[in-house]
Amino acid sequence: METLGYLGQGFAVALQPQNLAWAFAGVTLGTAIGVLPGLGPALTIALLLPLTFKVEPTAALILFAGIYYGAMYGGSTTSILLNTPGESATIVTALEGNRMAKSGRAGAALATAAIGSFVAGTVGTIGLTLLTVPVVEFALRFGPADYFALMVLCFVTVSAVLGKSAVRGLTCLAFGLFLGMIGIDNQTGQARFTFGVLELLDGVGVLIAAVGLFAVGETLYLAAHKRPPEGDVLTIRDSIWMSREDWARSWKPWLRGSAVGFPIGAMPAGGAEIPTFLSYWMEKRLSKKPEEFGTTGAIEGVAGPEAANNASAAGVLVPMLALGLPTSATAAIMLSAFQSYNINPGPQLMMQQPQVVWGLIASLYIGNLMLLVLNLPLIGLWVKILRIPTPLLYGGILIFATVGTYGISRSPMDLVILYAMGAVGFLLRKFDFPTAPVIIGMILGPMAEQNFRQALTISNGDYTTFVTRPIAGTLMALAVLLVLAPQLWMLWRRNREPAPARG
Amino acid sequence: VERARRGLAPAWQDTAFGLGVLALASVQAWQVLQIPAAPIYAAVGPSVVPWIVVAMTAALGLALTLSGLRGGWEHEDDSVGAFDARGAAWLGLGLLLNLVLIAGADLQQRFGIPLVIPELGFIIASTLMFVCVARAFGSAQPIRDAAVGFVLAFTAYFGFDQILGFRIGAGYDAQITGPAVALIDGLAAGATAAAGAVGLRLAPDLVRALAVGGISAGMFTLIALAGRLGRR
Repeated sequence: METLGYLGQGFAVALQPQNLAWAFAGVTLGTAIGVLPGLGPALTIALLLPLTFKVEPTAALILFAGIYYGAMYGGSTTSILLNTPGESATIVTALEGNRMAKSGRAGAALATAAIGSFVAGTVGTIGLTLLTVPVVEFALRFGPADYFALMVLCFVTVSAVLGKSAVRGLTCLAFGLFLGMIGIDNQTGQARFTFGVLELLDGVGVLIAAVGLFAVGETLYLAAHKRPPEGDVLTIRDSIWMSREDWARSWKPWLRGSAVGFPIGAMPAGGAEIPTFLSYWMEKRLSKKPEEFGTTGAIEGVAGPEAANNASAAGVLVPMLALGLPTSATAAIMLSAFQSYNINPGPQLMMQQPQVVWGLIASLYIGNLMLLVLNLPLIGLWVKILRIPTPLLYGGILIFATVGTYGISRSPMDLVILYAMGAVGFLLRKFDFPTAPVIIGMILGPMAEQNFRQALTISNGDYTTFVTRPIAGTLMALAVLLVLAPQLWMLWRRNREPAPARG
Repeated sequence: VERARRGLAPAWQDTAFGLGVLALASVQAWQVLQIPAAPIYAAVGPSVVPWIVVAMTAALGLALTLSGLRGGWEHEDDSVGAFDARGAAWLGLGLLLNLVLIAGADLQQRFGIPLVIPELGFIIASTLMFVCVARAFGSAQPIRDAAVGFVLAFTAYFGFDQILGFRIGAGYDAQITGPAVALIDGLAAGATAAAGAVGLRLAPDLVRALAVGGISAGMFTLIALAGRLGRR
């Protein structure tokens, strides 16, 4: 019951009037920016980060919590009304939600998404509350070798297992590891990969890289391709109050979606795509009106995946807060935001500054409740934001990307890096490479290297330490298995049924 | 390993990408060779992990090149419209203008480019970038774009410079925002004094933020009105 005491203290922090105001500002701004087509939660946080530079750490974390959940809500609104999902996890919401909107049921789709997000966010946050302390207690037994093995597992799942192609995912990871190593080596003080450029001694900022990859890269990509004209923002013709039948058809998918989303999100593998697709598939099977799927739009197909998406967003915070392990691009950006305050999430933070972590968790509850109250009544405002013409929208994104980068450091080199990363982002998008492994490699790489070297220092240079320690050995075996299993499976299948000869 | 999906003819673009990754690996290797030996004892020196990354990059570059030669991989890109050189050119021009006009002086110094690049400051540079970006996305209303871009750049500059206290001004930024700074200072002083008389204490930053928000909202309203009048 220690946890409840901590949580109580957290609420005492989060309920202070000025912190409530920060949470409110966070959810509103997060929703407003998250609604913009093409802006996922990761980019929303990166673009809004400069706002927090003058704020004390606790308040800044509360602001992030609000932005994080707000951006998730905003993204679902866009998917339903415009069918341009901001990130892969809302593709499924767009699938059914947009169909519902087209057949005049936009209000019900938005309502079930909003209430489902609230339910799943609350379930997920409760899960986070309960799971954080046990995970931290377990993690206290970890030595550097175990941490390194955990990070290898995370690298492997994020780049090789979750994406379309292991080779392309790992290429991006390697690029991220390279970017993360630029600068002064912490242990020996030697400059690495600096190409003789003075500014690179401080390294490349994760945020600059993220804004370059996501904002500048995406803008370049969209500008450089002729696309069919985008569909109009659909109007909401029905009530945003759900009917009795809508409630009856929604509540089970909400709970099922949460039950699928949270555990998968909380695993070091992470990711919101698998739970949302899993939930969609499940609801399609269980629905009493399967004929509505893919035709007029089924409310279960919005309720379940949207809940899964939000529950996994809360789940991702478990490894992030308890282990310092970011498993999504959004979590990686939050982690680097924490680091700019000299807050390093992980077991040590929970031991030394529990008020920071519990204040954050408490404000997740509060932000979630605020969003429920805000999101539906303000829907008219979000629709107005959605109607901003594309040319003005992307111009504005680039102005804010520039001011956020150049404004903080006043370093022209940062501006050069921002645009260079934009070019890289363009190429990655063009050749269908995933961008998240770049960011995760960049932030997790230096930590993995540090643990790798510490482990070898402890073992006097004996490399077997990574396989002979029980925790490290298990995690390493798991990582190897995850890489090899799909290949072996293919080989086995090919042997069983010989492929037809090519004609 | 990536499998051929488009038949057996080499996909030259994919092959080039793979070769690019290999080139990156060799540049990285050259940089690792420049890392001096550690001055202090370390069980693992500063170049060990960099070498691992170089090996990884090289192996993956090789795999991508081979995959490209065998027909390349599937791109989501294939379903998107054709390459639009005009859009790419306008956007590139916008970014370049912004970079040069904001950081021109520094770049000249660093690279010794004998060009005379005027440093116009953040606001003008960003407004020009905005117009180019809007053009890249097919806008045909440069005057409207310039007006909207100016207000956005002005607001962004103001927020950073006046509220967050990052001094980003250069070129003509100070001249452009001078009157507004005076106005906001006046408003802030007035509001604080008025609130003080009633016994309220306002945070000066809050007052300034509200003033900036008010000024940009006012400017946007003017643009919208002008647009409506123009259409009549």
